[in-house]
Amino acid sequence: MKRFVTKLCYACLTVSAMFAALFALNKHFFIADSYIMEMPVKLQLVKSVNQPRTIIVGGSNVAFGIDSQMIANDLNTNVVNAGLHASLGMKYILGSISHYCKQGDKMVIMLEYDHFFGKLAEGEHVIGWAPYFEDYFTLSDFCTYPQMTSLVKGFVKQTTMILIDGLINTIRGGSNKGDNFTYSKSGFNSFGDEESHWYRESPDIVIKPQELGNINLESVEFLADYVSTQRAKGVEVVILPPAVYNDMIDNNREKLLTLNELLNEHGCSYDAPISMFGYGRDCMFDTVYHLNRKGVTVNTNNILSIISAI
Amino acid sequence: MNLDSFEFILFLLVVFAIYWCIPSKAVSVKNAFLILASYVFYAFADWRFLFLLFGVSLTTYLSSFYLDKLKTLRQKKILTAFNIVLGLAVLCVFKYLDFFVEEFCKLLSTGQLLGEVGGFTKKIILPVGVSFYVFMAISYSIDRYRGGVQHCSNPVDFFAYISFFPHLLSGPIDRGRDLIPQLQARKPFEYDLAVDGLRQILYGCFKKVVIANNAGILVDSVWASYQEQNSVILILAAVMYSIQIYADFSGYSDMAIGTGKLFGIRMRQNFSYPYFARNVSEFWRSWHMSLTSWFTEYLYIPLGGNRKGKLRTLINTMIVFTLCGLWHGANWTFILWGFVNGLLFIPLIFNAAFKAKWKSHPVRLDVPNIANIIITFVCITLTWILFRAPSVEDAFNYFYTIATNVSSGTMGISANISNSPLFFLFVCILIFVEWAGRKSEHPMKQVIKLPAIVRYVTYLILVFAVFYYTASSATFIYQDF
Repeated sequence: MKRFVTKLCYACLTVSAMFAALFALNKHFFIADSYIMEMPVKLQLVKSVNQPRTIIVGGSNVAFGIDSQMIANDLNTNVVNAGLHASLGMKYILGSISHYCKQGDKMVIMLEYDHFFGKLAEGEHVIGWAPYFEDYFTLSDFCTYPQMTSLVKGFVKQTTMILIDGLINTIRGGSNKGDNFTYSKSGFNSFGDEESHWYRESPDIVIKPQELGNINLESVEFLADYVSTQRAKGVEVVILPPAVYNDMIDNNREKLLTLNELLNEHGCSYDAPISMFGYGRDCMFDTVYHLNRKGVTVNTNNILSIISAI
Repeated sequence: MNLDSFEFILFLLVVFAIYWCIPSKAVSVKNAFLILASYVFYAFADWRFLFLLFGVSLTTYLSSFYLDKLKTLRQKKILTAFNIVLGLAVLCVFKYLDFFVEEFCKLLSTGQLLGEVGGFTKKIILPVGVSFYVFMAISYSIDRYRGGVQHCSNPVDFFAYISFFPHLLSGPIDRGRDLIPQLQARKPFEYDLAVDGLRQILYGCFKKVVIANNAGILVDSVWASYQEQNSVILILAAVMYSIQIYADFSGYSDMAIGTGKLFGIRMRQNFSYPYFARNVSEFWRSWHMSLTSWFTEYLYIPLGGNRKGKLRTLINTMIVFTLCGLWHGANWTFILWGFVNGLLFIPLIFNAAFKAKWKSHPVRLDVPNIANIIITFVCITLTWILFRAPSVEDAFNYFYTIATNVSSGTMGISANISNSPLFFLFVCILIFVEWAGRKSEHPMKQVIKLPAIVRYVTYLILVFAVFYYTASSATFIYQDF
């Protein structure tokens, strides 16, 4: 038994050491221009951009759907686009920027509907990138058990994926060669908007809206607590529906009505109707939440019409 | 809590540590602890049915207890029959009642009755693992009646057998006569057995997480729009489903059996490289062996087996396989799948020489072997289409689309598999490894013959492959049965 336990411990230590080595290797060679590595940049922006400022937070519907320059010009304010990837989970997305939000900030929350259905609010394997965020990796951002397990599982998965994908891309001579377009950190502008797709034609694909799962009351309660904490700090919070493909709203009408009612009951209702942020195929890029250049303009104008009136 | 989940790893570590800290002479304490751990494990799956698990175990144990007190054979028969009927009744209520009600009402064209009763029956939830532990309980009752197993004087040993967590949710369907003596024995920790268990768990995890989950993504994406797909894509998806269901179920079985080995328990082998079978009889002797042997021992042989002429053998075979199909689920697709598998035995029943020819020939890399392996694989893959289809109509439409979309339909598959060339490479490696290891209980047993550095690199590759492809949970196919 001692021999078994000893060997098992050696095996676990060896695997852990290998992951530590891979972590270092990935950091130095493979992640520099990765899409998710925009997160520390956004957190740095939230930390350092001067007031008056408007911080727009959410998943990739925010990253892909806002022209922050338009908002900055119209409202004469600094703008930070803090949206990146819904799979980081609502709790991490909101928790990570709350460290740097202060009295006088205007926060616009545009979270994907999926955060309120199923377990997305706790984050998925993408959250495994968090240890790569260095100074912006705070363990207290992962205080729930599901978040912690997603972090650990996600870290081992992402570390392996980064290594293998990195090696393959190195052999191929770069991931954005020719028509092989992928999202990257260099696709973001200084406000945090993903703009590389603005200059590309929307792919000719069928965008299939998914059916939302069971509503997660805990997510709604989390958002309500978060909003009231921010408001108590003196942060002005505006909650808007996410920019989404119309068919997604049509396919999930009943569930979204239920969500709307729950948000109202918990004092964190949308400041605009859901349908206002539902867009046709001509405004969509490649997924239900990603807008193209035309969609970005329309969406930004819609956001402006709401936040300038509040 | 799936066997491939993070939570299960933590659970297993704790249970393993505590189990082996208990002195080996305190057998009852160890088994009591296993019962506690198993009930906690089951509670994670569905705590509402802990009482059902307890109830099935208790009634089986009590009927075994009273069996020795009865004087006449007739009384013993009645008691055993009562226990069997009770077990089957549990299955009927939880698994088949909704199906039977719906079909009965359709037959009588009573839509109103269907609406009234159907509203109730549709709310009945299928308890996880019920098909497996009820069959274990029934096998114990029959073995007791036949005298094949002694009454378990200590109820703790018996409850530990039924609820033993590695086999609780999806088998193997172990027999009491095999497992209870192991649970009753004073077992010192066996290093080689435990290490073999870990190897088997790793291999099973690789099959489940890397092969089955990703094959499932591809299969699901094709089935979602099969009527628009080209024949080649449909055939590819059918082959991938054969791979998926094998990797999924045998992967789970490997994890379950490997886990049992960590506790010094040798469970029943459940798969023996079924896709290298040369005929359907060989296939069914290597696929889900614990279920096939259960049906053989407790249904096929009591019906007369193959001892009463070819026609009776055929009838018995059809009954067994149709019921085997029904065991898998309350849907006409499963029943039809079982029936068709029974039909595949017709050439073997009426041409015994063909079957006998292969029994004495080992599986080898030569033309006759490979040809028969491919033919058998094609036949089985076609039956898996029935198994996978949501309805009989969809199954026939799938076959029809294969036949008619030869030069039409889409050729592309939009399936989100990470690094699909790497995945297909792993599929090829799996086939090669399974072929190379076909004479062992599991291919990883061959690894001990390799130099240490090669062994460790193999383990690391498997570990990294599992980490690379691990995703949010996908349940085991057989857990739904």
